[in-house]
Amino acid sequence: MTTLDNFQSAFRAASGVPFHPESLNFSNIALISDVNESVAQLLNDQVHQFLAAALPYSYEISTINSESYQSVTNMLTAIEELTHPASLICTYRNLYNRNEDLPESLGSHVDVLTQRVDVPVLLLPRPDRVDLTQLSLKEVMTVTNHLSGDNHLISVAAHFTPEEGKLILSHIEDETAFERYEQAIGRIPAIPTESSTSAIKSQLLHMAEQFISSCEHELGEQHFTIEKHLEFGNPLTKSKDLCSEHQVDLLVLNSKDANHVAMDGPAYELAVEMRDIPVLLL
Amino acid sequence: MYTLIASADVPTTVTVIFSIFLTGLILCLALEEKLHAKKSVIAGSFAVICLLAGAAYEILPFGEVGIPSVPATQETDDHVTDHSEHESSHTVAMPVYIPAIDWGVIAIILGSSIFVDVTTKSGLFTWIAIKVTKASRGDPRRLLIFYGIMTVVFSAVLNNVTAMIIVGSLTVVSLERLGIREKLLAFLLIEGLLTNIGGLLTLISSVPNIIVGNAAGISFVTFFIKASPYVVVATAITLYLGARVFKIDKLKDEDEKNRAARQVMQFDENDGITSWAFFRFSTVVLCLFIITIACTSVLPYVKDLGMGYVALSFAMIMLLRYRSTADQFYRAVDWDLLGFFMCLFAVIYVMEWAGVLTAIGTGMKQILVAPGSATANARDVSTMLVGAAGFSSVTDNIPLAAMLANILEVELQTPPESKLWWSVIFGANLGGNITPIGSASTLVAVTIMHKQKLSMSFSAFIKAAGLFALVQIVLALAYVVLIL
Repeated sequence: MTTLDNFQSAFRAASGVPFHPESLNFSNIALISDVNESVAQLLNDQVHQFLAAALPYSYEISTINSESYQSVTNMLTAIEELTHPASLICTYRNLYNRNEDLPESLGSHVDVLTQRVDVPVLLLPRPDRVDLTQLSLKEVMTVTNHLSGDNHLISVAAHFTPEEGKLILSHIEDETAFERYEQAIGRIPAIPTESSTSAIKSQLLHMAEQFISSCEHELGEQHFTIEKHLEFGNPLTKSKDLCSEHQVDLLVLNSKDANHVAMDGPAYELAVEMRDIPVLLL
Repeated sequence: MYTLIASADVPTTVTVIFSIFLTGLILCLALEEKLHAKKSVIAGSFAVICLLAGAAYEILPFGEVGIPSVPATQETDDHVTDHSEHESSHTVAMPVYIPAIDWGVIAIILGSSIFVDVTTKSGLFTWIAIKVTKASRGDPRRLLIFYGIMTVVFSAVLNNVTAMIIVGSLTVVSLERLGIREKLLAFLLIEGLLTNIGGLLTLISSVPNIIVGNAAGISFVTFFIKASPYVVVATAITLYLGARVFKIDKLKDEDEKNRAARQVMQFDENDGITSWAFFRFSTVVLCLFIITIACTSVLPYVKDLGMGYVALSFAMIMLLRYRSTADQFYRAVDWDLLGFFMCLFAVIYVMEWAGVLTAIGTGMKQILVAPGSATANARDVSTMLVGAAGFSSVTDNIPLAAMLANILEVELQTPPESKLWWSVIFGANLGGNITPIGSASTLVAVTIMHKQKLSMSFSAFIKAAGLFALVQIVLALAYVVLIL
């Protein structure tokens, strides 16, 4: 007789994971730089220009520049003392390390900032490396290995996708990690190896696909296209490939992990590697 | 199947000894959970003991079995073909317990089980279940009604346990999705009760129906016509009471309604369907199966071969799709249940020869006023119905149905048109709603509750289900006495 578990699995598979869009507003933005007031104002205009495509409503950018802080602690204090609490923080990597734009690091200011604040951090390319006036905002991509159920990630990414733009939802399952599970399953006589690993692989991608269908349904009125990429592979390599293939203008990642204070591993790798495009860290 | 057996020569002490065996069997089946023993093992153990004792006391009819040579038919009420009037031209040696088993019942159960299992693989039942969920638009009251009706229909077409498994699992998933998990216990309880009402709808809906219906010569169509009005009314009353008692109300707020609708519309009914061709094929074959079973008593040749043949044939048709992996379905057959039936029939056969059934029949003649009459009086009907319900609530309704079918047919010579048959059918089915161990499907409902960490003790179940069971039994009494 078919078991309870069989049917429960079938119904759970059919139920999918619904997307619940979140209502967001980024009307108070803080721009943190390591330059003086006048240069910071120039940066302010460039950021304004960049964000205008995605944020059609009015927003205010407050600058926190070298005249307000130097150390990490002072930076955090300056953020807390803003007249209007920031709902988005813009900055760039290796603050106060201008002479050494170290490609392997984001710098201590950004490392701590992303973990201490509760708002998204938009990591722009360094102004001395990339001309921010040349940045456009048409294609936005999310990168995660756990897309299903991540309403916040998709909501933020959708918020920053302009009309007539493209939102790319990518879900990259770590193939190396899965191979370990495959090996373990292969050593359990009671579990048929081939069929079970094939079913699990297929179901992992299917869950993400169902979630994306729900996103398409909920975001249908937003006037931008949604594209999906679901596959197994090396998350970092695949993400970089997708970025260059699609000429992504903004990458959106989850950077926090509830179990530790450091930036979430995959997010850190990507944020470090993607030096020339803006990365929105949640 | 049964012929009058002369057990008058059996000494009283032998009858008493075998009565003790029978009581032991019934008690062990009632304490199945406590004994941690499968039904087939319990019945098998008693079958071994009873057959050995029967041989030792020389009460069993050893010898060859006669096979009729001239296949002339003499039709009884509906579908039974009686060959007994013809002389056998040859005999066959077979073990004494083989003729004891009602192979027609075994064939129906085996065939239906495989048929349902294979049809389930097509995704047909999950498709229907999800469509029904979406039709409710997430409104709790509407969901209860739709799930209730679905439970009754599935119980009638499949079997009680499969119906409870399908509807119960979907209820867990859908109520979680809707965020109304606090209603889960109520839903599962009501669905459990409805499986036993749905089990009354057709001849093949539950095993007691098959056993008693076969013994009484009630055809599929006759059964449906007589039972369906009760099922419709009892379902409606149970759902109404359930909604009132457990406060399952309609959504009032427009926002709530929209949110609930959005949640259930996310379900994808096509998700589990791997082959649309097989899905369509299963749908057609299922409809044909129901029609053929319903018409078994009138179809030429098929009426002689019986419903068991129909069930096995349709199982074979479905297995053609999985012809290279048919063994997976054979493995999935509930062999414990089939083993239980075969051993139970053997035990009852021995009890027949030991005079135990005669003794019970004699006892019943003292209680019943006119059991052999075609127009059973209200008192007899009530006694039989309530008695069957009472026994069925504490012990398995299948041995009860098997014994009573034999006693009514052989000992009490109850005519096929007597309402006493219906008393047994209604009592055996509805008794399963009084306690959680009364039927396999309510046991499944309680199992799901426990898996979901919902507390439902034995006494809590009786307290929660008592009102429903009482109403259903009173309604059945009125229906059988006044309407049937």
